[in-house]
Amino acid sequence: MRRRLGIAASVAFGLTLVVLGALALAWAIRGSPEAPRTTRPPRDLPDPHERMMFDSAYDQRLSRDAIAPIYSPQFVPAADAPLQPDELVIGLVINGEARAYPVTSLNRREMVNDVVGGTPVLVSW
Amino acid sequence: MHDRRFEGQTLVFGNQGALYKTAMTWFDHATGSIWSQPIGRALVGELRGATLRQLPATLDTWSGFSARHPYALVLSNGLSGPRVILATPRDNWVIGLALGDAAAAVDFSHARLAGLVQLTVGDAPVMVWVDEATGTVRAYLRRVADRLLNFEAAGDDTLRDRETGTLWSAANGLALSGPLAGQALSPVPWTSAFDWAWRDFYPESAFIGG
Repeated sequence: MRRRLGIAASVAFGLTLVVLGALALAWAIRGSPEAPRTTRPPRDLPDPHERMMFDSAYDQRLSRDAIAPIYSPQFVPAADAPLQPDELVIGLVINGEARAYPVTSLNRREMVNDVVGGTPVLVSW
Repeated sequence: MHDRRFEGQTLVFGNQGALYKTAMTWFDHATGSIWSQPIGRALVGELRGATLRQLPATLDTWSGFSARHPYALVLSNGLSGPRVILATPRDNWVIGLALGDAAAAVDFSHARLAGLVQLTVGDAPVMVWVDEATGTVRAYLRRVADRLLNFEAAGDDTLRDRETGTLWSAANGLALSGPLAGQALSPVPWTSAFDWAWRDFYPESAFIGG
């Protein structure tokens, strides 16, 4: 009896794991709400040679936005920035408006969609 | 760094999660076309062949940048946790310059030791300045008001041109004193890349140092 209970408990535990796994998978493939889901390149290279050249150089490693880009950047004034003097930043100055993008953030997020001095910019690292 | 506008449309970019010629790719949300980062161009999809305008940017220490731009805004997303302080760029890094149809790559370590590298990319006279202590990079056009200039280091992050003897700030390209005082050097867009990746994209590129 105790053994049967043990088996039932194992089965229940196993089922729970399966359900959790399925939920995690569903969450993972759902992706960012802003991103189209497909990771397959649109096949618009009718020339077979061009297609072959593209395919041989193209290597899909992760799903889209697996490394989440920054779509809504937030900022602090330079005087309040929690940065060390030796820390590296990418600097961009457009129409007198200056931005600093700490390399620490760029290493984590890789891409920032921003508007600087009226110019929509993409910072990528 | 690129201007996100293409033919009157402002594009929003995501991370494609793929490598093309061992370099980063993006997708745009409007069409899902796939773009290559080093050349800023769509490779496949509706926008294939579209190219974004590259913007000149700087790589600097925070102390250097904030001294010149005390009213800058600083990106605050993703700042918690350990920091990148004086990250020594890896071996085989180049400072890549692509102007029109011409391309050149300057080995980063070489430039850092030399301090100043002057070259011509296609028709454009260019200089690359790297601060030895911090590894910060600047690239400027060596032409001011139709005048070609050659530079030499003058100490304290300044440069002197041989033609007029004007003293220039290497950090912001402004003429500090001399006949051209008040003039400014135009910054040139550059990209940091591994030398093999640069060669993949620009097989005809000149390579300097390294």
